[in-house]
Amino acid sequence: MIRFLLPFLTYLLFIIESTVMQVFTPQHMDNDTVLIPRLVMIMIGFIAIYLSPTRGVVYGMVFGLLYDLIYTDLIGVYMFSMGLTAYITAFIARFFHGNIFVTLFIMLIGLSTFEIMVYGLYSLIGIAEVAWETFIYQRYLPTLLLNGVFVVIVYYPLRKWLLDLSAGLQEN
Amino acid sequence: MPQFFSNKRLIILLASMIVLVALIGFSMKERENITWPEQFLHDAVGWTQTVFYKPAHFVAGFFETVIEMKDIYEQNKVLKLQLNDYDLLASRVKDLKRENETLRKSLDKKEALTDYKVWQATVVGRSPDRWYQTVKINKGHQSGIKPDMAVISADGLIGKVDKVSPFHSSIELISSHDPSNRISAVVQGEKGPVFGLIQGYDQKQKVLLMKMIPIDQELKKGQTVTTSGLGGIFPKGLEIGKVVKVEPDKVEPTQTAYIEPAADLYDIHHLMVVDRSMQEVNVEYEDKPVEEEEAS
Repeated sequence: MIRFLLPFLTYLLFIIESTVMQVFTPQHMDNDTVLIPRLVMIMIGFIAIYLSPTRGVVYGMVFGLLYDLIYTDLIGVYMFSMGLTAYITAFIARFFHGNIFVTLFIMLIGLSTFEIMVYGLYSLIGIAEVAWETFIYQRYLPTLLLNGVFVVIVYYPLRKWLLDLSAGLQEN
Repeated sequence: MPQFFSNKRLIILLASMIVLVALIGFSMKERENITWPEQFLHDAVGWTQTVFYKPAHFVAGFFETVIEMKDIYEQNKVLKLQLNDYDLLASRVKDLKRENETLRKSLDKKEALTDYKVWQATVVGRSPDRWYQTVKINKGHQSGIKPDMAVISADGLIGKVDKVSPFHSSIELISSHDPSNRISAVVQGEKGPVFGLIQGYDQKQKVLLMKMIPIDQELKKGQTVTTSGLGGIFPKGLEIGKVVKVEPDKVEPTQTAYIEPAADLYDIHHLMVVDRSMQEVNVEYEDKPVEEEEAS
């Protein structure tokens, strides 16, 4: 099940980011706020925390590469950022065990690292030409809020499912 | 407390950083089009996107229609008034067109810069992170679409074709930040056409920057900007937007006009890919002056 269902589900989230979520962006209403759904990153974070760090990093790199190839002209930025974020998330999660708030906190740290890393790399290359303050207020904080809500919504079902999968893996 | 990175992992991290730099270097090269594995991926993702985008768009469209209902009555009144003018204009355009054709025939000139072929296409997805402003459409090089063709909506220019796979292609919007993206544009001023280059987009004010306009040319707010057809690929006469503001440059004897795009760059669902019929004879010659400008 894990071999097919988990990649398929992540891929589904990847597609939803660019289709369903795009129909409901606030920019239709002349609003400058940039809300970026990071469903794949959330999924990868959960995999890294609850299933296994290695799997998280591999998923991060594969879907990061897909992201690079489909949506951008540069290969490598998302691949690197997603992989490293999965690693960092798994690393922090080793020290804390616990409830929804701790996980939310870890995921927010992970998402911040990810968002800032992509912004940093893109401004280094010269693709993102946005000032730091603009980035923080227009993009980073709204995005963090949106994805925080996603984390809270999926927390219970996803955690339970991944823990079941992990238990199934250990039996084999 | 365990180390954040063990030695082995540190080496892996460093190696992956080198790979990252190499990959970026490889992909930053100017490529004609993407390789076939990339094309295959584009198509595979494109098909799944189609499955999701259409229902989502339908649901969103339904709610939008309900909200719009209120304004329709008012709009109808205004439009009816405008329709009278339109009839007049349409008959005049017909006359002018016929006249143009006969004159062209007498000159023995068959193709004009304004002639173009059109493909209708539907949007299937949009890149979720806004660093790259691209949308994906459901037509590819099986239908005859090639990189760098102009893309318009009913209101005006949207962007150009970026990557093409057999059944899908991605469109780079004019709002995306790409320094190599230049569009030769023209403003129909009072004393004749004023030429310039559309180069760059101001994310904050949501305006395009039209540069390289000679300082002695006068531009006014509200004038319409169209493509000039001199760039080599885009046909002539596609509407880009309206002048909002004009500012002289600080260093060079040129001025910059700020242009509000005519097309809505967020609410895109159907668009048209446009290929101009008249082909470039000598591409080398066209390219050179641009490079010199860059160097100076």
